[in-house]
Amino acid sequence: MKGPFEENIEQQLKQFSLPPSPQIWQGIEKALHPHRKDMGLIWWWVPLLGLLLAGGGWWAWYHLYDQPALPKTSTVSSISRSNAVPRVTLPEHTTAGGDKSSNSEDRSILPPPEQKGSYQHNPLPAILKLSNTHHNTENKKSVHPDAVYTTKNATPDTMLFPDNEAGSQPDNNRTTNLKDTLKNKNALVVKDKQDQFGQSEYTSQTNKTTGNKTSHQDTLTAVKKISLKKTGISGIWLGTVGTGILQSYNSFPVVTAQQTKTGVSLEAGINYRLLFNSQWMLETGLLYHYLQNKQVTGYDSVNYKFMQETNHASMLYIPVESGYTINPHASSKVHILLGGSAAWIFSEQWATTVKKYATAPTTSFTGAGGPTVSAPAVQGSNNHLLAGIHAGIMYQLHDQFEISLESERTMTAFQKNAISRYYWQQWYLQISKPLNSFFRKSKPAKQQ
Amino acid sequence: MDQELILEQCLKGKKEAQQALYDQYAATMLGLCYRYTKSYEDAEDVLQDGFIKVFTHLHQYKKDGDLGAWIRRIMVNTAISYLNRHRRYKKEMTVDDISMHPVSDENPEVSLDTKELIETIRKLPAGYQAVFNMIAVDGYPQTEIAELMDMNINTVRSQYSRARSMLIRILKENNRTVIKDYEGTF
Repeated sequence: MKGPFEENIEQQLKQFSLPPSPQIWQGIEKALHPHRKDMGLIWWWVPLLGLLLAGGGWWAWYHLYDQPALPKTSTVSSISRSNAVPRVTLPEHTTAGGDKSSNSEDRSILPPPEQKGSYQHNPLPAILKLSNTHHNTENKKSVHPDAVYTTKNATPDTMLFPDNEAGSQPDNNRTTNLKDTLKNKNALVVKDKQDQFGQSEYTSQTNKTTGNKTSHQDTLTAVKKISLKKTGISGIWLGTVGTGILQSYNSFPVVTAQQTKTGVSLEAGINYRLLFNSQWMLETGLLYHYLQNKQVTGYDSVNYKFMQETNHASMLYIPVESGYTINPHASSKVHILLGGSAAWIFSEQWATTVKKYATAPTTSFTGAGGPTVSAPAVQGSNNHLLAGIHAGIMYQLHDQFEISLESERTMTAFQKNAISRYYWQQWYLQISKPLNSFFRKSKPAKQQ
Repeated sequence: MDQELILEQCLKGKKEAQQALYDQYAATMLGLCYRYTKSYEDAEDVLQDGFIKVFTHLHQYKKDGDLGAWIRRIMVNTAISYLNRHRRYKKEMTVDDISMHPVSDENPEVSLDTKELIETIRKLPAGYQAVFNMIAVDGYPQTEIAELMDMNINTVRSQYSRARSMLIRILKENNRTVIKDYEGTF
């Protein structure tokens, strides 16, 4: 068909070129890399999920169990340190009284500052001092058992009864009674030694001072409970299996039209649930999620070509969702669930087959173009991260079984390769069973 | 970057490699798109659509073939698709008035520079322009053109003959041809 005229033209035009404007590449780049926006979503979701987890953990730490009433000033560290027996050194003869005007708990037992060299306070760390401050119920004043008195001005009476005027005669009866009380309660023992001033040492044996609302025994119990919580045995572990059906599966930005899609997912794993109270809970877990799907793209309007793709993906799936119980007092409960999820698609096998209709399709979608011709499949694999949101409803049957129906939408592209990016939405059904329900057995009554 | 490496990276979706490939072929392909369209803006649109297709279908490229030729085919296909989609081209895509455009079998030697020649080709109706470009410049077989443009093969032949004659007439009118006695005729 080509003559000299055509050859002449071809020679001139074949290598004709024009410089494109920079906007063209920007447009191409935008079309090819729309997931940059999605990355933003990822970075929003990661800290959000972290916050949810941290918040849930914090809440559980403080509210999951009824903790014994601890002194307001106590902390876990101070409680543990307070196991050390504090020491009180009482002089044999003292005359000075406490500072009557002071309202401070610690200061109330101190002599007035103008009494030279009359008093030496054991310089303990503030937190430990606070933890060892006990309230005397008899006169509602504090005694600091760690205070070490080394002069004659400080007396047990000024310690225990700081209301006494400085230099006044202590109420011997009252002092004796209290000493006796403390001894009876094993709070004080007289040691067989005297210090350099000839003073006997009184040592608090158990820290059980009179009138303390919280004894150290209680404190130790609390510490044990907290330690148990640290081991992570609280909450409920659930064995979970589920399946899902892809509801929509959107192509982006390949070729032209939407596509048909079918797919099923299967999942199995364990969930861990923190119950905040009777109505609110937080659940997370680790599940293996398998997804398979098949989709057919719209056809190319010029060549009537279309793509058929199959995909098999395995992922590790971490959901984080909060739950609200609608009927907390019923034996079978209904919960509303809302949360997000992160997944690592660690194995994804995909195959793309290009097909071509033998005749022009009569509709704008697939299936009307007569017989098709297939090209060999192009195969590949991939792995990447994924984030999604989901919401649903759960029915809990007598703490034995749970059935939940949830809808999930991926917020980031389920990306196979440079060609295709997909988002999915699916409905999935999960059945869970509390793991401890497998081991529940009635224990024989403990013999007294 | 080595072309194989570029291709490999492009298949992985690496932006840098995609840009390298684009830089390598963009100017030539814009020249091609310009030949098929009536305006520079349309040519750029085709180029953009074409390169998106190139990158999204790159996995279909068989490495033993010429990548430039493969991209060129995608550009031509995209251009035809573009012409069919847009109304202003669509009207002219089916011009087949024999009386308006008599067939000539002359083989004049063209004395135009490339730019002038292209502008002259672009004066042809869109359908003629496309068919002429595909046959005379890009070497498409008639059967493939018929398939691409959804035409009968005889219509393709007819359109090409008229496009050719019309072009020669325009060139003659502008005194931009040197008539030579070429033996070969269409």
